[in-house]
Amino acid sequence: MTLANSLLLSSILFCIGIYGVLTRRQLIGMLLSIEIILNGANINFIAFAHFRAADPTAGAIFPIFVMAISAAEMALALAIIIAMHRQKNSKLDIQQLRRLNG
Amino acid sequence: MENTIFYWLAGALILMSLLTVSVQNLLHAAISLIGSFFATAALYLLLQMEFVALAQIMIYIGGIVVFMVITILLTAQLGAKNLFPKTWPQRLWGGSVCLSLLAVMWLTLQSNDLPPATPIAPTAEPASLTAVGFRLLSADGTGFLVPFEIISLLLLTALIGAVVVARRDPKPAAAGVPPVPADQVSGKESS
Amino acid sequence: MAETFLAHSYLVLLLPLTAFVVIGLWLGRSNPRAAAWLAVALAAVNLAVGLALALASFDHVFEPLATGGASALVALNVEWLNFTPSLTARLGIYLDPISVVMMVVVTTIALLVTFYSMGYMKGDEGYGRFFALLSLFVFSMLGLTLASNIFQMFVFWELVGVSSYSLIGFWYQKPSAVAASKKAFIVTRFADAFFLLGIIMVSYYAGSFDFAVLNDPATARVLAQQTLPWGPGLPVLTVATLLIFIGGWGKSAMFPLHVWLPDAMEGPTPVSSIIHSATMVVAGVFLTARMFPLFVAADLTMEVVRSVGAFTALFAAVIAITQFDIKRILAFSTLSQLGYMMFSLGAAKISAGDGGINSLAYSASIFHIFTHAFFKCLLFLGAGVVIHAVHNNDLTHMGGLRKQLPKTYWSMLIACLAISGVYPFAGFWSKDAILLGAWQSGHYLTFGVGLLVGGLTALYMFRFFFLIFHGESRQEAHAPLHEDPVMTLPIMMLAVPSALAGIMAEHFFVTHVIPPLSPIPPAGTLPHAGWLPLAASLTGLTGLLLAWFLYGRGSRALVAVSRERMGFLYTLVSNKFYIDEAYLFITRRLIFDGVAAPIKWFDRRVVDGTMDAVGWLLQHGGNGVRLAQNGLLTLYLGMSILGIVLLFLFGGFPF
Repeated sequence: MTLANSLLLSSILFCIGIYGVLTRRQLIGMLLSIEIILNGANINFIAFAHFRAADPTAGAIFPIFVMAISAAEMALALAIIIAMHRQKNSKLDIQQLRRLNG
Repeated sequence: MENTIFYWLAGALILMSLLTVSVQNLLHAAISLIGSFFATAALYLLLQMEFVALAQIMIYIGGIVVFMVITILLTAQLGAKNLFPKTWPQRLWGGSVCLSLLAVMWLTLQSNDLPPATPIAPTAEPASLTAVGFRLLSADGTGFLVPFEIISLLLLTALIGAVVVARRDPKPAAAGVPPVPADQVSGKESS
Repeated sequence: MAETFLAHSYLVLLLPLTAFVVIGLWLGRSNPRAAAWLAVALAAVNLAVGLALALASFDHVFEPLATGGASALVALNVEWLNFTPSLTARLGIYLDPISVVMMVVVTTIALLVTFYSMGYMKGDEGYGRFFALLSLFVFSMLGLTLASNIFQMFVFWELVGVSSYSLIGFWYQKPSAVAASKKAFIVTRFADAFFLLGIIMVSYYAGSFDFAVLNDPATARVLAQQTLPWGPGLPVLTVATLLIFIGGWGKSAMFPLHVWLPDAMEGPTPVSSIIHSATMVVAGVFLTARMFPLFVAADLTMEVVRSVGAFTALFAAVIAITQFDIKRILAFSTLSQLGYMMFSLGAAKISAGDGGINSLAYSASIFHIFTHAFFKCLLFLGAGVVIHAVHNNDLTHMGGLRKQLPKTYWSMLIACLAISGVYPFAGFWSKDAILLGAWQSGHYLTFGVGLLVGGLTALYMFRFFFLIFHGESRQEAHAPLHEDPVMTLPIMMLAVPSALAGIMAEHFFVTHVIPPLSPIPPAGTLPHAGWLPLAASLTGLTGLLLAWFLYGRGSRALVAVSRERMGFLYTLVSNKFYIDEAYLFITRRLIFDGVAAPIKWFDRRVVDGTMDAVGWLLQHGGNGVRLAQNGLLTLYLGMSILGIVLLFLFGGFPF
């Protein structure tokens, strides 16, 4: 249990999340993957806070903010998904949503 | 002892995450995500971050994933045939991109001189529940009261926004307004 | 009372501007008749304002000669553009002898011409538009005249050019009018480019635009000590004044930039009358007079002013003898008279000794502007009546109009006598003063040219006069002619100053309209040539009599014979010395074909080609890139990650 290992773990989680975003076509599936990415990032914070920081409390608080923001993001994203689902013919397929061109 | 637990937890975490991104059934994926979050929470406990671990369980598992599961149940027509099977080219493309990114990160980690491996002795208390709580809400120079309040405002906004976006239109669109194309609805209503 | 008028001096600019805006934007189209009356009414009020302003400032401005130099009065000075803390362009009204004289001339002529135009332009499609543009011109001209600094003067100078352009091309359906307007604009604009350079140079070294500063002898001394930082060390004063003078050169149509003025006669006759004879073209002379203290400090500039003026006077007079278009004759006559004014200014520098200043020559030049405005305006307006009656510009289709157009006949006779310098009409006095000035300053060659041109003037003016009014009629159709009272009234009113302006104003001009410098040697000490009026009158009478023998008695045979004798010379002169052709040769053959065409080729093939290639590349590259912008979120994400990977591989990371 070293810093390097923890960082590697967080990188792996991050890449798994990316893989999910890249391969999923459903919006909800992509959201799940995004959660994994955020999780990896949180582990990164915690690892540094535990192994390095002179003040681990501050390091612990940052993931809490990340969680809060991701909760807000999820709430909106899922609301959008529900609104889109109401439209007929919408299968929540990322490839059908190209015209948003975000 | 700690090392063993760490590696087991890490293995479980990676496995669960892989399942989350790879299973076809979204409900199964969500359940794997719960497992992955539990493993993460355990890892946080191991790293002496009790508050974060608790928050992880309560916010992520108790809040977000449950919400997701509900949404999946509402929208994904479980039992129907999977409409979007993954294809091998897709997997290859995603996999290669991810692996290359991982390689980059790994190499960066290796090439970078990490600070000495021995942990610096923590000068402060480990992040106990009390410490985090006081720290979060204290209004002196080191506290996080203002960000906390801002986050609470953000959450409130998101809440209202979500309600507005997801609300069913009480009456059909007024005559003369052209019907909005399916894939533009979200953008229009959330604005 | 005087203070009130001076405080509201801006009115003299505001009224014509109001007329322009109201007529141009609204009244001109909806009710042209009302527009014309409005223009006349405002011009009348403006004349009253101008006269009131002149009277109000009279005591401040017109110092008697004995006190040493003319003083000026700045009635209004508003900060306008602040270029640098030390260099500010202001808008102001600057009253000094020459600007007051010009203001009175412009407002007077403007009223008469506007009134006349009501008759002349009757039934024209652009009736309303005409009065709007005329008002714009009057506004610009007054702004130029009263400008308190050279920057403001330049702005109005260009405005004058624009209104002149649009009035020459007033009948824009006529290709010749369009060509003439373009020619006038381009030629004067060409000169104005130098003018602007001169302004920049002068204001840079003098640190101010204001005439009050520029006309300070100290400024001239400062400029005279500087040399340009590049080139062979040319003195700033000479270069800058020459550049400024080139502006006046083009505007006053001095040789060889005179080519636009005869063509400008394509415009309606009232326009030719006010713009291209009485007011705008003297702007060049006015500019030279305005900058006189600076110019006079530069010997070379004064030399150029004098030579150019004298040459143009002679050159244009010779051409005028052979022309048949009556308006063109008047145009060349204008050129010739402008030459007089110009060389008179140039002759204000005494050649002998260390170069004193002869204030008489300066006064004479302004005096000639004053008298010339009246009689030349009259001649043009009279020519307008003739054209209106005969529906032709050509002398060969006129003759014997004396009985049919009696009022015009008598008025024109006065004007012709005036311009020919016959005692006691206006032109005699101003020309006499000019010749005397040149002689006193010791420029004997210039003086000789002036004397000769006086004779030529009488010759071509009376040729013009006799061919129109005397002899037998050469019209095809003999419709009964009539004179429109709206048109003859201004003409008869102009006849009064044409006859009397000289005898009445001569003393005033010579003693009060003086340069803002003390004359060296003191006034009145220069020798007076008592024989000079006699000589001038004699040459004038000779010309007159020659015209009478050749054209007045109607012995056409004599003319034909003399024309045969001088065949080659005649052709040369009647083709205006082929100056226009030379211009065409230079522009078409040398500049267009020799310089412009290769540059065009280079531009089209190489410059444009490079740009086209870049454009082609961008377009096709863009088409390719567009494929990537397919809205597929996953692709974007993957690509950004690949970007990170590439950055890492090719050493983009700073670690």
